[in-house]
Amino acid sequence: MDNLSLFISIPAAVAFFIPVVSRRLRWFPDVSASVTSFFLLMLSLMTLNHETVYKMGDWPAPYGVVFVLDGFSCMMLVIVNLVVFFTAIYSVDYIEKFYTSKLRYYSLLLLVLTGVNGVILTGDLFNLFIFLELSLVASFALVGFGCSARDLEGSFKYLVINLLASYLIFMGIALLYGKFASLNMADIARMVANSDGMSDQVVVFAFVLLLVGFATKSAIVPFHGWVADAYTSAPAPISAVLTGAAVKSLGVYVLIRLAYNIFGMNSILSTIFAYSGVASIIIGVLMALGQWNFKRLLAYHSISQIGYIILAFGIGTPLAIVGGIFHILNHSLFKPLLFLNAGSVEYETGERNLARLGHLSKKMPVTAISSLIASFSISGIPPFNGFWSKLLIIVAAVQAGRPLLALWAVIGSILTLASFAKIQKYVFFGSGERFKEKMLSGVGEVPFLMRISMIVLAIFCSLAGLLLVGGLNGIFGPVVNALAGGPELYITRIFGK
Amino acid sequence: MEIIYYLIGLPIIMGLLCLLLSNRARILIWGIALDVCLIMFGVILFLFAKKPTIPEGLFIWDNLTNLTLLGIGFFGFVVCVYSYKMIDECPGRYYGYLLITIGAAIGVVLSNNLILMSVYWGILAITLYLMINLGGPLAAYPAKKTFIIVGGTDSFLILGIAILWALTGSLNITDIRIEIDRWLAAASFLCLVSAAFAKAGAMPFHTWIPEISEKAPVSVMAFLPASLDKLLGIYLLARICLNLFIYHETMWFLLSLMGAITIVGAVFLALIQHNMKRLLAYHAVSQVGYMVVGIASGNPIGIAGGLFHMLNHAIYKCCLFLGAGSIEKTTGTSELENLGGLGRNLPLTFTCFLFASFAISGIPPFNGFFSKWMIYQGLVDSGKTGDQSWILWIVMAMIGSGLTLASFMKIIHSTFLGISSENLKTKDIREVHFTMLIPLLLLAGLCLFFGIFFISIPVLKFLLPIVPGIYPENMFNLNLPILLLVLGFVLGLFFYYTTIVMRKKRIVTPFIGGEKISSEMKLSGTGFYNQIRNTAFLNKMYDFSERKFTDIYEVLKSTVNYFTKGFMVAHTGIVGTYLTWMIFGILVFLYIYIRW
Repeated sequence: MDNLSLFISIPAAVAFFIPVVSRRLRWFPDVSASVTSFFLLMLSLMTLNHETVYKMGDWPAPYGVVFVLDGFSCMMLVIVNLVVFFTAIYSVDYIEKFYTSKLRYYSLLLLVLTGVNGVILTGDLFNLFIFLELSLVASFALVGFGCSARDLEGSFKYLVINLLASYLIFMGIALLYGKFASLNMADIARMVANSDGMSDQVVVFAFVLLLVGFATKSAIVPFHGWVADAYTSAPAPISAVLTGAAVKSLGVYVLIRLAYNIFGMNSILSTIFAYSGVASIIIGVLMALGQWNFKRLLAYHSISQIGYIILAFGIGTPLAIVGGIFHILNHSLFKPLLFLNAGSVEYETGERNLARLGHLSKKMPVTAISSLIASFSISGIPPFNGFWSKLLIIVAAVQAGRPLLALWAVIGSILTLASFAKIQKYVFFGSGERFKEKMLSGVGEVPFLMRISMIVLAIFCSLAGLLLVGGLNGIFGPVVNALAGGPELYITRIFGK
Repeated sequence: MEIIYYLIGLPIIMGLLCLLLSNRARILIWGIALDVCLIMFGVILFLFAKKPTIPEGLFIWDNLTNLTLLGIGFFGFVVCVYSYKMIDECPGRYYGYLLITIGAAIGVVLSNNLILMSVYWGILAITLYLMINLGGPLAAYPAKKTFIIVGGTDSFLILGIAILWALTGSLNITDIRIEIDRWLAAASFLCLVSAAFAKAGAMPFHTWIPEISEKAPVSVMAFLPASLDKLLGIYLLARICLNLFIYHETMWFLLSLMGAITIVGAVFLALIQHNMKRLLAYHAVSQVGYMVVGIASGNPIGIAGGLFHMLNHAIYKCCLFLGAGSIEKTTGTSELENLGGLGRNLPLTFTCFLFASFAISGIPPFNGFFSKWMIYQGLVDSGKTGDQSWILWIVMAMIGSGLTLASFMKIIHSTFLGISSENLKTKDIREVHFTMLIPLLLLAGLCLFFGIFFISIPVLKFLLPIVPGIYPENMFNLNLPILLLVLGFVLGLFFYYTTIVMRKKRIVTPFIGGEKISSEMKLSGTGFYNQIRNTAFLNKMYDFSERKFTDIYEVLKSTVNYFTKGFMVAHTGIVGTYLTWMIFGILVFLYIYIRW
């Protein structure tokens, strides 16, 4: 599978097809998104351990746009398409109930997917910016999809803060272009490496702008202001896509790619990553503990879990990289699942406030059990997947001689456990203070397609720990190679020797 | 080698199967669970006699494993039998979790690899949480608290293991043996100990046990906090102190201190309780102190005493909780004020409860006496090295022992003796179903059996292989005292029968000025203990603990809430604020880059 542009062209084409066709074919939007994302998921699974560079129009590297597929982007493609596939299935009934225009919804969802896939694959900075904006604008519309005042408020904050971040990124790219007269990432990496670029003030300034821009996209403290409102007001599946796919690839992926493969890791960057990771872990989880809105609580946890990932990449040893990438994968399994659970609870009861919910474990067994599994996963309870990645991160931190970072990670993990014990108590096992019996009347399990996507994600959460069976170099070996190789490997991959 | 996979895998797989079965197939589920428990117990008993040799690596099978395994198999079986009549709702989930717990517990004690052990340890936290939740919506809060305490210390366990790995480069229990000579090693030690303490319920991680005692199903109480969690917590503590770390004065002193505080603190709290299950729960905390003190005494007899106490405690506390369950099942209450006079209706339950109470209070010839004795002797021996702190520990342990007796007299009196209270008079109270009696009789019998045959079974068979340093002949010769005791008991029985039972007599109700005894005149016995609550210095302490200052969970919770409130105020929800933070972030990043 060498034609990487399929990952971009297929969802884009289907996204434009949907409004055209579905005037006649009512079923088309529902089916199209699921089938497209399933197809892309299969495609991405086929590309696993398959490293290639695709040149658009066969133009060679610095002159044309290249798509790069290495271990890291492979893994990210699988993760992103998996999340979008399950949320697409889930959306069929969910959107039917709460929202009106399905064709716009799916078409926007596929545009987000287009942008996300593009960001992951592209090897060109300006191209990356285009895909980033495509994804941002589409998700901006999706966040405010309900069009109520609150939805629009969340959407507005999302837009303003992220647009500012985009401008910073744009400025960074412009500065780099002015300096190096090139937009190709490998080319820039080569020139940075050759000219001792990180001592150049312009390059440093551009890099800081990029860093801040992408840190905002990945919601790292102190750039996390948009998260809570955006995730809360978005439809539940869209929150799942945002946390599982968009933030990971638009923010974290690019941040790590820039740090490891373009500019090269150094001790300053490592420190910045580690401490902003710790700040995200702690502040995110502390904020989450104080929330009573189900989705808002999950949103703050998203910040906290991204903190773990950034912390892992800040530590930067191969073990930590495995932990980080595994945590990206795991977080893309359990956090979307939790958002889907929250969506299911809202679907049946129309309620997001933890204090008004209660006693759902008997009424909604599938939702209850899958959310239990997801809660165990995110809290790092063995044998669920979150445990393994947190274990790797903690062990790596201690091994790298930074036990205090490990201590913060452990504290964050305990507080995470506390807040998910809270969710389980108020929603499923016990009840909140303002719970009323009449809320439970007519509450049952959600429709089949919603159940299926929750069940499968829960099974993945339970079994993903098995990915480590082949040893640390099994599944995650190519990722570690791609990142630990530094800029040199990336340059060689694109320009050859 | 395969036998290990069967031992761990069979209960877990059958447990998962039970979870899938319909709740209507109650008998079938019970049958499966009982069969599995029986098989496990049988196999473990067989393997106990004929210790298998297994290759080095992931698993370990030494004498400590052997003893703990025996306990797990036995208590799993006993509780499974007892649960037949006790558990009506959700049998699938209950027995499923029970079997998974057994499998995971076996996994913990068989693991040589610390990561593997922590995985099983975590599964135990999950099943504990879910089993407490079987108690219904009211159990949700205590379950949450338990899960946070136990699961939270699990995270510290991981951290401790990570540090150990960084220090030694190994994850196997058999390979690690390090000196606590730098702060990292000390941190690792404390992390591991916190996990052991939380599981066993020693202070300061004890608050979950009293909290869940009234809400969780009573068989869960008997199975997990009373027996299995004690076995595992002390097992881990023993591994830490005997295998992983070398004796270090300050750390061991700290352990003894926590142990001694646990003994006294919990027993004082137990004294003022009015609910039988809660009272027993505080004793479950208090007794851990003895085990900790014993193991921390650092000499063979004390360690053996601690381990023996672990086994004994599991036996009698399981018996007591199961007895409390039977009483609750027949009378519908566990409040001491509402009980009374049950000795006549439930003679067998009474006898078993009495035996177990004697055992926990350390009265010879029951097993509790001997394990406490060994702990005391261990403490005295530890003084031979010149460290005089043992005097404090032994005094505290003895005070604890006396107060234990006092609080059990309270239970015995207000439950079984005296006259029955108003609401029990109307009820037809009779002995419980035989599936609930047999476990009680078995456990009470064991209390006596382990006491009388103290040297020949527990010491020679169980403890000597683990702690080779103990020589029964050096400890104390018990044959004569026991002979005299038995003789005295037989003589007493003889006189009792000849002078009281066999003689012709007339039974009358006590004459109280012509008044009839009515239930209003009943003295439940709990009132006497209110005096303790009001004593000058103690009332301050009780007030202090009632305001939850001694509860680590509540203290940390309010601390965390304090920070949360601060951050909540900062998150105004106004875009301008967030943009300001962004600008601030840019400045900080630029500053960092320019300065370096």
